[in-house]
Amino acid sequence: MSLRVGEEVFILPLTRILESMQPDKSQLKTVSGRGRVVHIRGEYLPLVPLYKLFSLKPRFTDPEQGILVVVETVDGKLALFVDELIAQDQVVIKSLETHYRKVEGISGATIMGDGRVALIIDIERLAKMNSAELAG
Amino acid sequence: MNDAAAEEQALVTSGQQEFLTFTLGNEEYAIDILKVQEIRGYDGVTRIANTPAYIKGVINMRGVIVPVVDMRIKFDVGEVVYDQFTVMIILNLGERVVGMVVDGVSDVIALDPEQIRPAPEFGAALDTQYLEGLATLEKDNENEDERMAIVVDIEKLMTSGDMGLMDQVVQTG
Repeated sequence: MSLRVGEEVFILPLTRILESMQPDKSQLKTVSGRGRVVHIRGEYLPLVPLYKLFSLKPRFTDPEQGILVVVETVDGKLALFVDELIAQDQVVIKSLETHYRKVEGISGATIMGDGRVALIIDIERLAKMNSAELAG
Repeated sequence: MNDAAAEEQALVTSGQQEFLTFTLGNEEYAIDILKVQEIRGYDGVTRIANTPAYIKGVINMRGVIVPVVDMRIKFDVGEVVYDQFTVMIILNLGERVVGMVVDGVSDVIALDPEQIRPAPEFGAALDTQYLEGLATLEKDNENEDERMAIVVDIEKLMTSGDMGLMDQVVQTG
């Protein structure tokens, strides 16, 4: 699944996506004034704003305007907050490390139809990055 | 033997080496031309989060994903603008390919080893450990001032921990 945050396009492995949704104000809560959670059918999931983790300028900073993508990680579910979903794509995974190095939160890259490079999100690292971001 | 091969042969026998020169701010730099893969415009760069400002991101170079560094930001020289005149030198450093944004590409020059003088410990935006030396360029015509090129060991620079382009297995210091 390709998605957009600000000007950038990212890829999320489709098999890890449970659902996507636009949250209501009533579903969004904060925990100790910093971390945010979203209440979905009795579960409280941590809200992870992708633009914060990747220092991007997003179109929306309010989760009600953007879209939440619920993903499954080994440590539980997360709600990723992105600007918009673009499309389902089949992509060839290319390594960033061939000519560059490991990038935090990114598992690889791919080349999109327009020739641009899109980065593939490493979901497992996101939860940890989010905790670090909140702690820092 | 064709012309290019003949020229190559002439270079080998004379001990000369060819360098590509480029400008960064007011300084002129020279790098080994055999390390240069191609020169292209600045386009289609995908940003990478949480990297230093001089790492502009990655580009798709015919299916290969290549990082791009902006030397103007790294060494704080020149004017950082991106337009149709912005050029990128694609370097081939052994197994690595790296794109490097510079102010402009000037010339290809041939230098004798004895034309390259050792560099003093200061005077260039780059750390002297990456410099091979300084070379005086021949004047194109009588009215011109004598120009100096800073000969850079580009492979050593790009693979160094300073650039942060690669995971360093052993931190040398």
